[in-house]
Amino acid sequence: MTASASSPAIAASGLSKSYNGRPALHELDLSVEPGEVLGFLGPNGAGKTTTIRLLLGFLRPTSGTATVLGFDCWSQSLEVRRTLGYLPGDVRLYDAMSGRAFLALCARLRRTAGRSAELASRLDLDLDKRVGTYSKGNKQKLGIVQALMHEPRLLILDEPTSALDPLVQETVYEILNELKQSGTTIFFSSHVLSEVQKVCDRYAIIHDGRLVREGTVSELGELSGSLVRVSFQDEQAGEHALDRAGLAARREGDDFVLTITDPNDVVRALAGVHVAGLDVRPLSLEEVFFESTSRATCGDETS
Amino acid sequence: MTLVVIVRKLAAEILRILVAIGLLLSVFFVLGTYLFVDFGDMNQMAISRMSPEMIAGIFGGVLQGLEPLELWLVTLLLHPFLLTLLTVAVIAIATRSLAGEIDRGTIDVLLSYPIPRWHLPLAAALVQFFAVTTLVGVALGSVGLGLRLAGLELSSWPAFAWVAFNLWATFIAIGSVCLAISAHCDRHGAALARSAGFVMVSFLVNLLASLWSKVRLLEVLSVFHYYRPQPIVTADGPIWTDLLILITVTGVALGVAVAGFSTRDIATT
Repeated sequence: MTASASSPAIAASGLSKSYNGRPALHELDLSVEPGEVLGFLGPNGAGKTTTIRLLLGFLRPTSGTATVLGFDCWSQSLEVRRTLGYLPGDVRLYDAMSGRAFLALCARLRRTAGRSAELASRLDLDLDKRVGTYSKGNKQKLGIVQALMHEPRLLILDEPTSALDPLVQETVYEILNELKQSGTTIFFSSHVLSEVQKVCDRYAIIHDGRLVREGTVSELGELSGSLVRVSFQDEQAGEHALDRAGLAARREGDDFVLTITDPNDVVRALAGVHVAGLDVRPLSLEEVFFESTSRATCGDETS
Repeated sequence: MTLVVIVRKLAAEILRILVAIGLLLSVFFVLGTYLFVDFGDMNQMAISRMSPEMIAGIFGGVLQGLEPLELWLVTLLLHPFLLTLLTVAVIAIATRSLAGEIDRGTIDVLLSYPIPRWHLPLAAALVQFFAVTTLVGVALGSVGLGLRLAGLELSSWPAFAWVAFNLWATFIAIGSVCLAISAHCDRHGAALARSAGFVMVSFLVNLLASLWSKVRLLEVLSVFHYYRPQPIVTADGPIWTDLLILITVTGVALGVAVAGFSTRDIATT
């Protein structure tokens, strides 16, 4: 098989991987078009890293096939790796080297230093220190620089902003958006919904090794929401107020816990009730997945 | 091109340990050779009290026809200190390069670059080649320095050059087996333990088979059986069958390492 201009950037068909008979990925069908940014979402242990390892040719599929830019990921792994940049989830580099020496090694392996100096400067990374003395965030920055420095056609990023402070995260989103504008295909693995919404065109959710949902990022907005934990001085009055507003809450000790998509619903419901405690935070991916699954189950039962 | 880059990276990583081993070997052989003047006779007397089986076990054959200085040097070239240091060098290179990269997790970034997988075991084999060549060269050079400092003359230099070549081939073979082990391990510690186990079992089998006639047949299974300085010095030339077997072991082990590493799953933890 050879690459052609019309090939999808990434195509997986019935892709499965088992470790000692234990399935880690089950018949994944996935396609990413050139220039597209796909958010690959899933809780820890869902099969995201296994999928990435199959795409990179680190693992041989138990069954099914995967291609990158038309090249088979296992039998043509070398061609695949020529075209891409990769940032592992838990980036581990050579501690004895300085950041500069590490990037020089990468440049020799790619035969180009590319944008390494510019990227290091944008991410405010000191290249003269030994990698072993770097903080986790700085190692992550160095990992990002090596993945992006040669301007690859395809980027595979496994949780690229973990360990980065919010300011640097914004710089990374900015760089990724520039790459997106220039037509780079990005496979963006994450378990954070909000960052996928910021960067990606489409999303795919994987759970227990199976693709459970995919769609556009605007559809993802319908899935996301916030988790509200509220307690009242007068519990009966509070419960009544929530019922009146049509908000379904469950009891956890003294607290009422509910998920919402529009914060105004809660503000309206709680007006006039004496609130003892209130905590609002975005739903985690696990909670979104749990919510959407239970909604679907309820829907099935009522129909 | 990527092969050269990987070789240089690995060589830089193990440079310190090689320099340390080289210095230790140098001191051992300069001092050891120099001490012949004071202890050479004592060595000969001690060996003369040994049973023929023990002599055959330790030296790989009878000791007839060896000059006292030759006997002293043969003793040095069979000393466990030398064998241990060379073992440490080849195991360090083999385990650091393959299982070590996987265990440390650095393989994830390294293999995301366009490097054919077989370049990694091959690069490790090349570094082992250079390291063993250098260390054996240091040992031989240090013998020469020790002789000069002691004012001694050695007439059988060519024979000792063949001994050094036999030593080199033995440790290239051991290193290749360790590479084959490392290519199939995910953990640096597991690769170290298995490689050290292989060397120790091999050494003990050779020793036991040499000392105990009932298990003599087992000696062919040990890689150390094919390192025999004494017959080389006596015959003033190499034992070609030993060299052929060591080269075959090297070839098979490297084939297993390259094929195994190229087709295995790479899964860091």
